[in-house]
Amino acid sequence: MFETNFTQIDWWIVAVYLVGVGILGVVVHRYIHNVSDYIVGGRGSRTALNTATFIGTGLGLVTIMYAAIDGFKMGFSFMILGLIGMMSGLILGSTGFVIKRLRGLNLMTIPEYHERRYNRGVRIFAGVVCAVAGIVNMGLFPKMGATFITYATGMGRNEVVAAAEGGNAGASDDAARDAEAAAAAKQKFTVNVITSLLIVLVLVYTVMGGMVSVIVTDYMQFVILSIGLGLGLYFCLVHPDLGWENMVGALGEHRGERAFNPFHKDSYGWVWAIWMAIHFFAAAICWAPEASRSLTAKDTRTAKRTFLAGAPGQFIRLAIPALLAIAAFCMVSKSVEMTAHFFPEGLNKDPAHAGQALPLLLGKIVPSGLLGLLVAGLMAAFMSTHDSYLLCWSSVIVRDIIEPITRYFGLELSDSQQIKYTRISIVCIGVFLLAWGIWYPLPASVWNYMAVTGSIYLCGTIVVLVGGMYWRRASSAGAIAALAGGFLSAAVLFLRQDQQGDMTLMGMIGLANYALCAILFVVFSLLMPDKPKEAAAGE
Amino acid sequence: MAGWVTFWKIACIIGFGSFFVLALVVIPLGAKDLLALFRHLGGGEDR
Repeated sequence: MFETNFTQIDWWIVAVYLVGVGILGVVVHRYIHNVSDYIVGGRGSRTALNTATFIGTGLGLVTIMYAAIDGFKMGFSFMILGLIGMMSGLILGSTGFVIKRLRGLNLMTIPEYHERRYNRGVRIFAGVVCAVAGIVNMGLFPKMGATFITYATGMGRNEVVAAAEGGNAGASDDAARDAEAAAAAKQKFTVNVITSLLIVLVLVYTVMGGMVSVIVTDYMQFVILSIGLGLGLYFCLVHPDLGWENMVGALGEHRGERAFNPFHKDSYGWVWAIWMAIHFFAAAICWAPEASRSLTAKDTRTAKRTFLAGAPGQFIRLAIPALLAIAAFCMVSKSVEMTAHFFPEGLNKDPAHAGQALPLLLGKIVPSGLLGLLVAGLMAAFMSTHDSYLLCWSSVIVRDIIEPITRYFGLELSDSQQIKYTRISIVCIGVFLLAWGIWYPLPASVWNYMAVTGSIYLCGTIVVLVGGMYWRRASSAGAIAALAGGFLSAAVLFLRQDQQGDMTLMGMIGLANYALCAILFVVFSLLMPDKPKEAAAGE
Repeated sequence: MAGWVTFWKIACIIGFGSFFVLALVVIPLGAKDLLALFRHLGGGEDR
């Protein structure tokens, strides 16, 4: 059942590609002359390159995996997220709302804005919230990457083979179980080693080349992944057992209208969709790895065009994996053995092992050779998201936490010191990732985990950012209160798994958190206004 | 349900189509921009 078309040739393609991208990422470190080059690539990125890297950052392996997991379970309904993402890109790109002003301020990080508009305390607090939320958010990335590698390369079959061999040799049930456990442990170890090596490779080139490496590798990933996803889509649509009609038919027969209508009572529902619309809008503006593309842009016009041109990328990064997952559902529904594995309670119930479905489908329908190219592209996607995230959060730690604190004590950090501390932070986050990724269990909905951890930062920051730009009476006390309000989202992580799977409940909590942050911001701004800057300076 | 099937079919055609057209444009122009970025960064201390 877990056999795939992945062969020795594919391993070689993957290895050559990864080593090549790694070397390229390291080589460009000679272009780093100052902290601006390291953190925002010298602000020299033009529209096409900025668009490619903007899409490349958002199109990570973890995005593909969580979109596939939810697509496998929710069908076409999940694509509503892609449409919401595309709409937010089109609106921001055509109006330049917030992003135009952000780029115009020549910032290097988003929290930097808070010191200019409010005060240093707000910047440091925003930096802490941003870094904590961001690092916890990427905590599942290694585990998702490991799941993909296991099932796309066919390593998932090892434990089954080992168990069968134990049984064939006439051994006892205990011996068969021991063989199965040993093979599973060996497979887990191998996958963890591969995942760790990938993270180390990312750490090496990100530490060396900063944003320049990120831009170069993200561009390469965009090229390979555009080809890879196109191939995956092609093989899926022309496959005699799959194809559009078969996929629609299988979903309709087993899962009914909820798989097509996102507002159906058994699907996501209106509350969740409204929460997501606000969430996507906030993420496009404030979520540092992607929002930083407005900061790396050559000018304000380029920043606007990046969001506008990147809008279809917002759709496909969720819709293509979801469609491939629907194809996987179609494939599973035709096999008794697979149905028993993925849907032990029946095809109309919730799936088990949903994360295995997409890599398994790709491993089975894409021929050897091309499969290596596709897996290389997806591993590059794994790396390119890590590099952007690592650089963003470590830049925030140094620029928005360490630097303002040292400045408070009268010490100025030089460019080289800032780069050094950013590099140290990158390594520390990398070590944390490996540890967190091993012990934290995979939640029922990876997307909800991502949305909730992101909310810790987004709920408060979007209010503080938009309020600061468009409301004259916004104050530092209001900003701190709103940012602190975002931590309410963390409570969701302690809900039971079944509660986390309740979309209406999640949507209500999410919306309530945005509303709470807005109320705190307004109330505290009115109750505790800032002293006028001139008066404060004169005191 | 038939309405939703048609809706997703149109959404996929427009969404996927516009992305792959975008990719055809962005890949060569992005390479050109990458070279321009290297020239810009190569100017290092002069900037």
